[in-house]
Order: sequence, then C-alpha cells, then structure tokens
Amino acid sequence: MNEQHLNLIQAEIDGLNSDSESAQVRSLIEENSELRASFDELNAAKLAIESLVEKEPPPTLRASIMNAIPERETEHTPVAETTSWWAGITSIVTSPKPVSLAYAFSLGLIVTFVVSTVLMPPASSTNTDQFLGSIGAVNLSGFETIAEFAIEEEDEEDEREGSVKVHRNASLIVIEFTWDSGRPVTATITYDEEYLDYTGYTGTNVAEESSNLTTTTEDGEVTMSSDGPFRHFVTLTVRDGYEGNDEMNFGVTSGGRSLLSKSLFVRK
Amino acid sequence: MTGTTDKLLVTRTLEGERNAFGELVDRYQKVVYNVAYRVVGNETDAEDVAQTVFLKVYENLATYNPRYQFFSWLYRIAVNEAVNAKKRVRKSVELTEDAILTQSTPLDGAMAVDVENQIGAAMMSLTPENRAILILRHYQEFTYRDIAYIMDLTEQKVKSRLYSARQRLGKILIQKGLKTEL
Repeated sequence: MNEQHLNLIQAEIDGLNSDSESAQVRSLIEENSELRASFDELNAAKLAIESLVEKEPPPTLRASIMNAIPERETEHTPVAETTSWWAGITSIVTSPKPVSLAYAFSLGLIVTFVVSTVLMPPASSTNTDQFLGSIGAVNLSGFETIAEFAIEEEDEEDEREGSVKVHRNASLIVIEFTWDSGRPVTATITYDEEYLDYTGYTGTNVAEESSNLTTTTEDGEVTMSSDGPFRHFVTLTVRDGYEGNDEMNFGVTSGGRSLLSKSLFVRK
Repeated sequence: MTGTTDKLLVTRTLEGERNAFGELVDRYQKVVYNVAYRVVGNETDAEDVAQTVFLKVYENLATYNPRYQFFSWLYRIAVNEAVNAKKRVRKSVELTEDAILTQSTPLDGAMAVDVENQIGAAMMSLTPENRAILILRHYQEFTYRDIAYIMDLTEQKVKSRLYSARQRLGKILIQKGLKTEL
C-alpha cells in the first residue's frame, strides 16, 4: 500500500475519481486485502456520518440570541483625528440608557487602559493615535491603534518593509499585518489561549496571484506565510475573567533572518 | 439564492437593523447548531455554543471580509467555538477508544439498537478537530478547499486529517459491528 493508492481510495470515498480511476480502485481492493480493509474503514466512517439525522435546534434558540445581542451603533462615521476623548465621553452620557450602560462598561475598560498605560512602562513602542476609517473591507471605526511595530532590517532603519498594528475596541483585538516586500515572509503571533480567543482572520493579498498567502492556527499560535506582499487581519477576543497579565508576541522572519520580535502586554 | 443576499443582510445589520441579523439567524441557526452538536456531543452545550457563535458573529461583523462567503466565515467561527468549547470541558468526560469498544451499549441488545447513538459515541472518541472535519466533509459536504478555509489548514493537511479521522472512526464502527447496519 503506497501513498498513491491511499490518495486514490480517499478520492473514491469522496466521489472525486474519474471512471478509470474508480475502476483502478475496484481492481486494487479486489487484489489487495490490506487496501480492501482500508477502503472499508473509510467507507464505514463516511456512511455513518451521512446517516446521522439532522437535529432541530431548540425553539428558544433564536429568541435567546436576539435577546443577547446589544443594540448596534447605527453610525459608522470615521473618527476624526481632532475628536477629543472628552467629546466621546459626553456623547456617551447623552446616549439612551442601554447604550449608556454598554458604553459605561467600555469606558471603564478604556479608563483602565489609560491608567495602566500611564502607570506602567510600555512593553514596546506604542502609537496611541486613533485609527481612521477602514482598511480594505475591514471596518475599524471605533477601534484604537494601541501599538505599531515597523518590520525592518536591524541595521537599516530606513528599509521599512512592513508593519504590525494592533487595534483594540473593548474585548476585541484586531492585529493588522502589512508586508510590502516581494520577498517570502513568515509572521507569527503567539498568545495564551486561556486568556485570548482566536476569532478568525480576513486577508487581503496585495498581489494575490503571486503572494500565495497561507494562514494556520494551532494552540495559541497564528502563522502567516506569504511569497510576497500581503495585508492581513487577525482577530482575537479577550476572554471573560482575564486579569490583564498576559502578553502577545509578534515575530517576523524572512530569508532566515528575524526582522521583528516584539511583545505587547494585553491590558485587562 | 433567493431573497436578500447574506452580504446585504450583513450591511443592513451594520447599519443598525436588528431584523436583518434575525434573518441571518433564521437562515443559519440549524446548521450552526448541528455542527456544534456533533462536535460537543450534547444538546445543552450545543445550544450554548450556537448562541455564542451568533453573538461573536454580531460583535465581529465589522471585520467580515465580503471577499468570502458569509456562511464560510460563519462556519469558521462555529467550528472554532465548538472545538474550543469541547477543549474547555475535555477534563470532565472524554471517552477513549478502548472505552468505546468495551462499553455495554444498546447495540448489544439486538432489538434496542440505536445506531445514531452508537455513531455519536464512536465519534466522541475522536479529537474535536477531527469530528469537525468529518462533519464538514460528509454532513455539510464542503470541499477540501472550503474546509481548508474554515479550519485554517492547508488542503494537504485537510486530506491527511480526513484520512486519519475516517480510518479511526471506521475501525471503531467495524469492530462494533456497525458496518452491516449502514
């Protein structure tokens, strides 16, 4: 039994073989008992799952979902650079009650963040300028850019090849990777799954045909590899009960050289 | 697709129209619940997972990239949440393959065979990720490529995981004598 045989059998189970390939599989499993056993196992699993009966969700599920979702802000006007944080607070105070409560909670987080930023030395260089509007299809209005790292050769400070920006809105963290160079690159984010929950990503290949961007996640690590320029957004959510003592680590390598290795404390 | 497209419903939700999100819930609550149920293995946790999934979808809707199908993005969140939920409770109950094979079950009583429960029990001996990949392929009929996107894997990795998951499940089912029942 070799890899080609296994691929043929797997394709047969998945209904992907041509007539001639199917005939080849039939011939193989007639002649080889090991292959026959393997085919039977895979097929048994397939048939078993296909036989499962679809379950109806509880009738109360929809209502419980709709009752749990908060009111959404209806305006997505980009935050002006000159908008003061005080103006934001006064608008919260004048909001309808449910919105005020939600914002009051968010405000608590923001105040905590501001205080901890002032009282604690930053773990890395930070850029607290507010982020304006949207990037590509990702709408980041309402997010604050809490850190920005340049990706560059150590000895050539002007040779900036990309950046890592971290945006935050309450418990939601969006990490924006930008790689402008045509060289292959691998970028990694590591975090503690106990505190942060990987939610997903959206990718924008700058040169889609050539960049061949792949993203993998496993056990608190998100890895992006690309053959060329790309822009990518990874979303993490701060879990309930997080006490604010964990850090995320960012690493970028290209051609065997480390271009970035930074840590960022995640505030509560 | 008939009626309003998912992407339009997303836009309307972002504009503050709750009913638009309600329509998305109507469309997808059943598939999300079923994926969750097959991964976590019980109705109570599946309901919790389904609710959490839709809340996360709602909270993260602004980050949805319309380049992808909405339901694929939804499945990403659903599978991720179900797998993580299962990992969080793994310490409480996790059946081993040996336990599955030696369990005295209704299958042993000729007339009280509950094939569905037997298959469900056999599936619980797989990792949550492998349960998810089997459900996506054989229950939801996603392509390797779709599964790669949903589970953040390469297509090659999808194929190899599918092979090992099917092989393991198939071995258990055959040893339990379930093959002839199918």
